[in-house]
Amino acid sequence: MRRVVITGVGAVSPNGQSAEESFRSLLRGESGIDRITLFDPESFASQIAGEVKGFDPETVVEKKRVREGSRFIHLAMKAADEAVKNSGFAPATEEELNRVGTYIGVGFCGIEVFEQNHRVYLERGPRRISPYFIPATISNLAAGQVSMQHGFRGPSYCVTSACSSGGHSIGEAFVAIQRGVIDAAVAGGTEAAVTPMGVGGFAAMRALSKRNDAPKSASRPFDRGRDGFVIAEGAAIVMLEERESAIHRGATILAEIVGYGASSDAYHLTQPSPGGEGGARAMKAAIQDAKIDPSEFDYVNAHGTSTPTGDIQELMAIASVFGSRAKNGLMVSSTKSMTGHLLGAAGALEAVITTLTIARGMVAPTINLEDPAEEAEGFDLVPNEAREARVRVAISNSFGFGGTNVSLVFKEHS
Amino acid sequence: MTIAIVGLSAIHPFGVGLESLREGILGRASLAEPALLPSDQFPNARTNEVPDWDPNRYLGAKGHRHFDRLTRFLASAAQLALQSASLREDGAYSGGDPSKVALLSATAYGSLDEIAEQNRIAELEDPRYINPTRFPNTVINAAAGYVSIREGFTGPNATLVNGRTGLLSALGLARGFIESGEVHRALVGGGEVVSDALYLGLELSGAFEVEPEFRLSEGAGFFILEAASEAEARDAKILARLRGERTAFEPPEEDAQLYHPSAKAVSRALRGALADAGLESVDAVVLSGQGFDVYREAERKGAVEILGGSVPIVDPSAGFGEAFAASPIFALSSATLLFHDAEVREAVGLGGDAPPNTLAFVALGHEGHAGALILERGPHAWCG
Repeated sequence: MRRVVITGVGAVSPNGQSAEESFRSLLRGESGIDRITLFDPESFASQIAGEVKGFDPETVVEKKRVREGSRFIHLAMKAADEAVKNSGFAPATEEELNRVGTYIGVGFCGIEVFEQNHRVYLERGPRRISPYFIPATISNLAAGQVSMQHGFRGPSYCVTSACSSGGHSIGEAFVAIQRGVIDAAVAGGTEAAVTPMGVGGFAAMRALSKRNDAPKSASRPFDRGRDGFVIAEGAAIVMLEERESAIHRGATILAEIVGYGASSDAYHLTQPSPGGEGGARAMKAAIQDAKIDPSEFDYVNAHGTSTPTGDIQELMAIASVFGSRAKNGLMVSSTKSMTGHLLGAAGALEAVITTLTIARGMVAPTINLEDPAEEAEGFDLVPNEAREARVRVAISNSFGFGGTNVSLVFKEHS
Repeated sequence: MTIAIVGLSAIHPFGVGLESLREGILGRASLAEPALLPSDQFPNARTNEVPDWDPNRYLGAKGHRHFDRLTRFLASAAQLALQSASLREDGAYSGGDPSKVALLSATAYGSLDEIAEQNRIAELEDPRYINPTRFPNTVINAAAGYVSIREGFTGPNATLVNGRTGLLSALGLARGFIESGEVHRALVGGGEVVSDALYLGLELSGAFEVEPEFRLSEGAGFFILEAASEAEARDAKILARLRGERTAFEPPEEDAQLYHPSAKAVSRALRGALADAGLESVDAVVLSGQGFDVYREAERKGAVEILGGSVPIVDPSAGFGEAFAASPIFALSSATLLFHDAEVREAVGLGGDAPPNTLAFVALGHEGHAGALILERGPHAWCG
């Protein structure tokens, strides 16, 4: 089976407008959460979010073409641009371009454009809706626009599984390279759902934190005081290449991706299965795929959204998968404590973070962990401060509505 | 590894099931009068809707109150596909370990009707009144999630969005899961529904003016895939074998171009699928039932470019209307009929006498995505 390596990363997140800027912010333990500015949140139960601050779509498309797309597309284009540039990947021939795939997931479609146009429709009638309504909203247009941006002509589509979309997309790109369908891919996720309906919908489900007076400490995975997740937005992309060709062209290899596991709870649309059984199966499948013993893992980038139920179920799943290693040398952190929950982009951002963790030997912390939940006892949750540590093998988890679970295993390249 | 298609279902504008699909192809069934869209806003709606749709007939009277139309389509289609493959008994999956079943579903637009409804509540009433039990339906993969819950499937579950070609992408993923041993079986399909928002979007894009015969359609379906060796070992009905598959993308020549009927994408996908199958040609090509002539011609041109002009090209589901991700499901279901049904072959211009051994199936999306499959005739005719 062909091996797959990561040669570039890109990210636009609440913590920065590049992967490097975001990662450094995380290592400083900074929260990217603030009061919502993208709309007036006054009447909403939750008024905080992880917004990408000061994002200018004109950095990726011409001014006159901004209205043809939407925020989730532009964020993806920015992150992809960074990943491709950083990797130095530059296929020259048509045949090479034909063998580069684009896999970009999203949980919602272009929801802000949908809302804007629906508002126009309700207030001013159907004839005033933008002719770009459809191309700006459909989910696969992030992948489509990124393909066009770079001329990549291999498979180009959107894998969507709510909050595990980014993980699924990277996993499928990894398999396609392994199988020889393609030689390289840009893969990841994007989301821009900090909108009245996005926030209102999750708030109606009572899924969001209401710590409106203290946004920086609102996302607190594994802490007793957690009261829901903080919605966020952004995009993250990894540049994946077949290992031999990456070495041949002299690429800098940040990490190797060695395992992918996916499962479904078949239990409840929005609640995790008891004991985190579905998540555990995804982790086991990924570890089995990687052919690495659980005792060799150094780090888990947890899904850890800061919800009362989900965090505990994930810890139970980690305990069941890693056995004695879970509480003996295995670092587990939730970077959502700082970024908030990027929904369909979360798995991709956390894949980028995990890659940089391995490449830099620095583990980002779980912040706001002041009073760990009883069930967290014995776990090394890397509380509140980043840690220097060699990470040889790591796993990143993503779980989503619909009961979908994805785990990806990353390894130090050798 | 050769992958076999051992079951399928289709919910389409001529009804539910392959019998009514066949009647539609043969021109012996008529389309229902449009009824879904409000007639005051859409007085002359050109829609092909699933006729007499009653989800209770398939899902029972209870347990699907919070489902939207797409979810009801998919849940019913999954159940019918499993039944066609004799993998559902006493209301439950009977094919073994449910963690070894992947569910891969394609849609281009998801539940736009549900998104519009929840947004209407947020806009006209108050965000606090958004229905918490229906809001999750606005997530694109919600329908597939409900199907996995109903059927108890705990293997990989994802929704593919790739315009009209999501089914082809999903088939490739399913093949990967089966070949890797992660699953033994996969349900691959998807669906699309007629909604106000989609119709309006198409109207604004000029679709109905550009194409005088254009009609927005809807439906759903699933194909059941497993390793041919396993299917043979359990004496399953093999309708067709999937010998090769590939997808491709061709960006438009100009950045600002929104739609791209790319024959080149079709030819690249078809060339890749043939190479994957180890074949140089096939007995016939099946097109995907495009709603726009320009795309139908691009599919045809792409196929001719690879196979020359002597291989027959047919479009059995041409009269079904444009159902985006569901259109290739209607077309691929129709393709399986061609292997064993002389009357259908005759009706679509393939000649009734000699059944094809191999078929190429091609589908082109509106943004320049294309996919191709190479199918080989299985020993069994379609199951009822």
